[in-house]
Amino acid sequence: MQNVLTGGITLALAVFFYAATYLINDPDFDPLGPRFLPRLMLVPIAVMASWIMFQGIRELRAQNSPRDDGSDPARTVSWNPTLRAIATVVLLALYIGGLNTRAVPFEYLTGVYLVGAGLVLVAPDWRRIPWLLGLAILAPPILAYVFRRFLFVNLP
Amino acid sequence: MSAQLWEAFQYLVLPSSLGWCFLGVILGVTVGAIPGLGGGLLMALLLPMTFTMENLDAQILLIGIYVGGVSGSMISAILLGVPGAPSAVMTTIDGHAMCRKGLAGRALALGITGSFIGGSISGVILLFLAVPLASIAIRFQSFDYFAFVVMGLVLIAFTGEQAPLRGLIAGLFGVFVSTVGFDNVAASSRFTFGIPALANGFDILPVLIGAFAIRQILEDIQSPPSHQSVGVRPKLTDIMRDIGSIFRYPVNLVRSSILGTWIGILPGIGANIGAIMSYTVAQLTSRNKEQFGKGAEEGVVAAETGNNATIGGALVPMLAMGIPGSGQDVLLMAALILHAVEPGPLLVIDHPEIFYGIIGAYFFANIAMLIIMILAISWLTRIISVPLFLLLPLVLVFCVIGVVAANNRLEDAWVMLGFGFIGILMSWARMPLAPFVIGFILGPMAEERLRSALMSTDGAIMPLLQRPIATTVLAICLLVALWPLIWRAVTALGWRRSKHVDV
Repeated sequence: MQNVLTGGITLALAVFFYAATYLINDPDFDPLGPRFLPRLMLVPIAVMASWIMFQGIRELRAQNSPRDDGSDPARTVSWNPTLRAIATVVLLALYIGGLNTRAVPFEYLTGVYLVGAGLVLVAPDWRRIPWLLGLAILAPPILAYVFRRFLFVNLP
Repeated sequence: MSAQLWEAFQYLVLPSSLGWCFLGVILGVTVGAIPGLGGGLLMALLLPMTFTMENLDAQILLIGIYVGGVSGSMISAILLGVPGAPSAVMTTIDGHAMCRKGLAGRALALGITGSFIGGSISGVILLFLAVPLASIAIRFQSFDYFAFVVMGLVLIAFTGEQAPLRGLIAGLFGVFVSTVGFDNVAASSRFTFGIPALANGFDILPVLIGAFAIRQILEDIQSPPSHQSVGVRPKLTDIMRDIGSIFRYPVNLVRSSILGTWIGILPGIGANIGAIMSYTVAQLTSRNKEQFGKGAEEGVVAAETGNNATIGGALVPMLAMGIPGSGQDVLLMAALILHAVEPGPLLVIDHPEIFYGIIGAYFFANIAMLIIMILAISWLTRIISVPLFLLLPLVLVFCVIGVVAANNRLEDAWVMLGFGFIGILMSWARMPLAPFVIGFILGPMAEERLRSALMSTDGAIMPLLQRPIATTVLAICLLVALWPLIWRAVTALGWRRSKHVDV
């Protein structure tokens, strides 16, 4: 099933972007034009994606078993780390969003993020929280000072 | 020459010169190790301060940062799986795989020694062949560059341990992503869909750090590094033994050094492409191809030797012709101009002390890098013993600030996150990441060179195919691409013959 999905999604994207190349303004003076390279990439991607999808469909038909989806049978999904990973990405998105709003100073936002992301990773071992708090208090001001003072980074 | 070289050497061994050299390398290694920041940024920031320094001291400091920055990027690449700079992309592939096997110290030792040897060999080439090589390099035309870039793209499929088909899709997808944004030649926007943030396309750093860092961190959360890899802290004796073992790969060392130097000499092609070429050629010619991507020592040696050799190579056109070989060389030239010294063919005649001083400073910076990084290995490897709940959020914060710092644009952090998602999706689809990044780096160069070549011939391809360098390189590309088919045909023929003899 994984091959079918991989091939199908890739093919759909390639077709979509190929259609989008018609929106590109193509002047006459350039022998190749701005559409050439994207199309040169998208056509083989579409062909190879079709091949992967075809292989996936053939495998599904031949084996007709719920396990035959191209994935490693030994690889089982463990929900606890997966949820932690998802929570880490969500927190990172919130952190980046917070920085872009420039509403909260970098030091506070980074401190909160370090505690939040750390908590996602340490839970339920609450004994490690003092370490996390220590990092959240010490690291952001140092980072802000170094990056603002010496590297002239425009942090909120 | 020998008298001038001796004079330069006498200046370089002065305590003040050595101090600048070590300071530059320490700063470069530190900044290079932080994902997103690189030696180039620090060199640009320190450039105005060099005005008050002696001319050669300024060059010593800046070259130290340059060498330290390229070498330092291997630290986060090997230990965290996050390349500190684009030049460390190929080191990440096998270096981090070695780290997860508990061989972080060995990977660092091989990388550091490879960097030193690559730098030294390119320094020797710089010393003796700067002028003739630079004069050859400037004869290269757009189509020759295009042929070299195509070679890199063809080799993409062979990078990584995954199936070539998925590697090729990832590589082509990388090239495609690089076309997003404003097209300078035709003055038209591509795939921006009216979104202003996409008008300038994607910068290399957010793409690189997003794709590698976020995927790696999520991987670390889901399957933390083993206790074996965390517990190993190499002693100095182990490090020295590991350093000695690099001489098991003499051909790889010399080949990657020469390849890296040559790539460096070609103006506008950076350390990242030197590493890509060295790595892919090492993989193609290796007897243990299947080990590449899973922690092959040869991969680390080739990538690090290649990327450091490009520094010496890039100095060749700068010193001999006054043409900068890389972005950092522009800053070195600017430092010379600040001191009223004109870089160019007359530099060796008018200011031999500067010419040979720069070459000597490059050698000394490599030695300083070797000493500093070897002494730091056992400390550096402790990074991976920091608990993940402290390390991973901090690394992500560094990634965000590093990406923002490169262009002072907070929006780039979103691009990083977006490419993090793409990295995760590619991981799910079992597509290797390295070809994607290589395609992204090489794509714009290939397109630009081909289009300018075709514009010079009014769209005719035949005059371009009469160029011997380009035609030879393209023929090699064709051979490499068709090699699996040729090999299959040859073995099938051999099998039939042996069967016939048996009958």
